[in-house]
Amino acid sequence: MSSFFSIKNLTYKINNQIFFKNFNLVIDKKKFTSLIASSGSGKSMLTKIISAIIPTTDKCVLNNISLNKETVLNYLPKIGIVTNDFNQDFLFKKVKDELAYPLENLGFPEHKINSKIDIASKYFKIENLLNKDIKDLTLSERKKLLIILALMHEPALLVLDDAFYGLTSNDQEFMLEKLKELTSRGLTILNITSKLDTIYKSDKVFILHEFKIKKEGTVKEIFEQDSYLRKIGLDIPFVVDVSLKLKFYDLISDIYFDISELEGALWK
Amino acid sequence: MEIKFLNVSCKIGRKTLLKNINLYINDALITGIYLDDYKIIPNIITGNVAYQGKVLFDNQELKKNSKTKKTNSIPNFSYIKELDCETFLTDTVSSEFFLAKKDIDTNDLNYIDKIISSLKMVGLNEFFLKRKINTLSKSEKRLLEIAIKLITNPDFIIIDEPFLYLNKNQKFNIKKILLDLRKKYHKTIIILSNDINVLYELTDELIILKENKVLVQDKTKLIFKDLEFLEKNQIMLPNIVLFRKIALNYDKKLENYKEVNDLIKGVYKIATGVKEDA
Repeated sequence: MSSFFSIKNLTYKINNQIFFKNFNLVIDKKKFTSLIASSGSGKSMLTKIISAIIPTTDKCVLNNISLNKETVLNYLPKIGIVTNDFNQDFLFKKVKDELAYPLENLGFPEHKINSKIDIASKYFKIENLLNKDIKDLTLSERKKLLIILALMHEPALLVLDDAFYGLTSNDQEFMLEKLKELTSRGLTILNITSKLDTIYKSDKVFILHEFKIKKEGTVKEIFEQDSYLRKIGLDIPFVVDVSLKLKFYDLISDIYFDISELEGALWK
Repeated sequence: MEIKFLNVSCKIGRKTLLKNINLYINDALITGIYLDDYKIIPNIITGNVAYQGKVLFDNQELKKNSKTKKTNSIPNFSYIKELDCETFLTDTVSSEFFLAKKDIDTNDLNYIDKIISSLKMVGLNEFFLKRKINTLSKSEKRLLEIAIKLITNPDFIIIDEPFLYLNKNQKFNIKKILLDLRKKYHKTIIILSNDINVLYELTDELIILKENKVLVQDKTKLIFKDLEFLEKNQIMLPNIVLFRKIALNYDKKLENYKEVNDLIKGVYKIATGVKEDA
């Protein structure tokens, strides 16, 4: 497997407080990778480092571009970032103008911008929102829009920092499905989150705790360690929690991510 | 504090957000509001938007400003909103607390003691007093906001997404605080959330809005008994209720549980009982 994005030997401190020490992370190409952590364990700081908001020198490497002062302008267009930052606001009144903005910024001609908006809105089924005012969108629609916005310039790596807060569970499921589909078309996704119901479709999961990678594995391997997850303050999603408990009593033999499937196996 | 809406309508721009609604928020209970996307009900209660009709606090109608049509002197309340850029106005934790209570001397030891116990209540501690706001994590900011809003001892409390940004233990703690405020101090609490699971877990009564009307208002437990009604109106089910509904397809009748562990016991009884029969 080819490493696509990596963080190498990162040490980061503010004054004398050390946050990351010799931290390493490797993300594979065209994969959906999740990095799970409870609050206060370094999630947002890591996102800021990856997105060059916190400057570092030759610690992040994306597709052979090592991030430093000289390369930052080559590096940044290749990533898309969605944060859960409450200061993040939209710039325009209309959804359509907002979607055009990142492309206008990169100097795309108008006809190309329009066709890209067309493709994106069809793919994510937001055609009905294009001419709406952003202030009239529901919270879930706005959060959905933030994710789509980060994809408009077709980045190679999408970094999601707790991007699924505020989405309704239907919207969340839909967006995860669509994002996973994009990985087969070449997108690499890093989902940094404390919401464990967003990691079901991950190819690989890392657990971050106290600024260190503590464990890694497949989704099911990670959920098998439920007592560790609980210990570090992560919430086990309902369907996984019930699966694990029923499995303990030998009533089912697997972990399920869907209540219907779970009950199909349980009551058969 | 009991809050009543009588025939309340609200329009913002050309958009009708509420049309002739009546609702009751009862004293010393936790009332949930679901599908209030524009947070219109808390905004009316706290005097932020103009409306038509009557809003009564303990059966008293408050004076409306004749020009703005907004309510004037609202009783002492705290509205804990989702974090926004205006949440904190100063740069340290302690100065935020002093900002919350006017006319207080920064050397007032009683108030400092109060601040510390308020911080401890939400799971922070006295060392936070000197911290700069921009060094706090998102969950610490959220807990700090809750601590500040509760220190004024409000008559009623409105909270948006009570579990937002919090980890498992912090959620447990906030749940305990809300239940204590209701039970021991008889506070009226209003919770707004888009997560039906959160509302099912925390609320005594629930108001569900739909297309600028009140779709239903009742005890939370009763609302989720009537599966047909919920399905007809396409209301999302809490996970544990959904589990009960799906089980019915297999002719398995589970009770209306609230806790996962009770559900597991119920399932175990039915599943092993079936095995014994076979």
